[in-house]
Amino acid sequence: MLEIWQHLLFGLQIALEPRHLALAFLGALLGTVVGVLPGIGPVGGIALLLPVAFTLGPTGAMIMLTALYYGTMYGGSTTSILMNVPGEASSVVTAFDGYAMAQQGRAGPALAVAAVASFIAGTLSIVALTLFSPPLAGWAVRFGPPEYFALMVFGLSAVSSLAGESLVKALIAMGLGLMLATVGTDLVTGVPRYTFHVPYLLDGVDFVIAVIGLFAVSEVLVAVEELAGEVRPRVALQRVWLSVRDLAESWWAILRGTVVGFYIGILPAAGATIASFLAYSLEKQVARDPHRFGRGDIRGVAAPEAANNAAAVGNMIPMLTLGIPGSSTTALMLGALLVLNVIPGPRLFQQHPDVIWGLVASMYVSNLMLLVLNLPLVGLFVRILDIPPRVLLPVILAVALVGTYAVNSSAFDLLLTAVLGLLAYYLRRNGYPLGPAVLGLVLGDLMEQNLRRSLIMSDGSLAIFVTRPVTATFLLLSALSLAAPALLREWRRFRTADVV
Amino acid sequence: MDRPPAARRVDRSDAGAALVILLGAALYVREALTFRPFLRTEPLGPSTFPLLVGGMMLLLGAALLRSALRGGTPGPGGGVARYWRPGALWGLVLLYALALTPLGFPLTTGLFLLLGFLVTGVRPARALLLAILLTAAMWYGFRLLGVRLPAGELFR
Repeated sequence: MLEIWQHLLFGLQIALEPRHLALAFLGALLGTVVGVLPGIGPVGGIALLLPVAFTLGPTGAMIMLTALYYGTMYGGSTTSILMNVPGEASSVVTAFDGYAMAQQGRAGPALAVAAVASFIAGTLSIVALTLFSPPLAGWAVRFGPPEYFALMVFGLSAVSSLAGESLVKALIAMGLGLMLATVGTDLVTGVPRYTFHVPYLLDGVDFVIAVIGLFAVSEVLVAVEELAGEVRPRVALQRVWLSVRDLAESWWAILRGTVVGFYIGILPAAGATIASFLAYSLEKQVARDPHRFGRGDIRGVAAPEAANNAAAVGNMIPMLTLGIPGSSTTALMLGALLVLNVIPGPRLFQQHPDVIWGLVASMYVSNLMLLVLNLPLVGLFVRILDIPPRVLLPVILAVALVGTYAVNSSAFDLLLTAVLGLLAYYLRRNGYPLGPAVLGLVLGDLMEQNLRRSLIMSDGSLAIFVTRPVTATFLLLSALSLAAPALLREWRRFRTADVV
Repeated sequence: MDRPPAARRVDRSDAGAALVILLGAALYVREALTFRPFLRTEPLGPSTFPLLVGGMMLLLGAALLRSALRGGTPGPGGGVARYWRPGALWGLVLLYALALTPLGFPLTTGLFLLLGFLVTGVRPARALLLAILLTAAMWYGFRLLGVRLPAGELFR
């Protein structure tokens, strides 16, 4: 306990350095803007910022990206409440009661409770993260290559089984990511793979380039399709405040939302969006007056907003302690750390204490910053929506292209971005989730290395994957998670047949 | 319950995608068979993992083809009217990639923004003004970040 406290103080020293404070502020500000804009989500925002982040060093980059991630969670709720247009998927539920409240002239309390719930949930979850992560990392530090390989198989299959409507399409997306990951010189033998005599490809497909193409470019292409032209009406904004009665009414909803969100966040594959839906339906179930939900109940705003922030924090735990991201956003952060030569996983706590504790401490800082920033400035952020999307979208695209070029000063990268952007646009339009693709891209290399090391350990015998208990358990869980959707369907059919 | 007959027709879009995936995976596997290390130092060589991935993609492609032939739900309609804007914008991205080295940053970005604004429906006069202002802002903004953008080989 004392040790954690010392670590945290050490982290605070790093987080409170003026440079890091400025980066957290910048991240929080940009994140809120990204959150408010309906055309671009957290993943696209992070992708756009990656070229800049790499000039900052690992600690600075992670502080800015994390602040940006939280910022999108805050900003997304603003448009949900005021315009019934969720800025992000994770604030869709917030619109149910938030917009209803705004229509009844209670936009102020709705925005305030969203900010306060996010703050409380974020802070409590960071406390939990601070306490849970070191022991988890301590357990995982004994993992060998077979355990890692199995864990990655589990991460990939869990994400694929939950993403999108079709398991086959999710797995295809994952496979495409893995295929991209195999491009480049093989690290063990030095054999060039899938480079087709193009010298640029010897180092593999640059992660940043791939991500900008897959996410930023395709997001703009999808958004431009739905250009409505007219500006949507929004509810007039009053003073943002929260009465004691409002707070008392939403207090338990906030706490329940936090717990639900945090646990859902830790699970691979289930991110902030699922957490917010679950927290909302839980709140409706425990309420004595469920009919009030959907008609402007403050608990209907508090619970999902707490949950999506808690999930965003919970998400970081498997990424930091095990090196296995559970969502696209954390996969991007993992990729960013890898590019910066920091390998996430249990050893991160020993090898880079400055990165990890600085990051944890700066989570506290940026959460407070967002609360202070959001309550008084909400009116200003809403103004961003006055910029019409038809102006905004080409600009976002231009920034993405210049950012791509800036990474390696290479025009070939721009071609790659264009091709991947088109591919991702097709995938998005036809029901293939992109989460598994980016996960495959990030984990592909590590997975292959761990697979090969495992078989060196066992002299080529596959038995190594079933005789080690942890490895076998992870592989069993992977099989279960892939079979789960089909099993559930059968179970339901069986149940309904029984009733009839 | 039976689905309406319209939904039962072969899903051509998915069937086409499945064929592309099958072809791509086959080429991917064929290429993987050519990876030969100089020294054999480990049980698995450089081609094993790609073979696993390629094999999985062949199976998935087949599964997608099967479900597409059984029939699916039609995708988003709208035809050309729906897709011309993303298509035109993507064409501009491609042009940007090809033109940046010879024409340089200011001209390429300015043109990209101008044409991009016209595609999204900004009025021409305003589009021109915005394109010039934003190009200048980006040029100095990125220079501030320490990124040197090319001025263009044509103008050397």
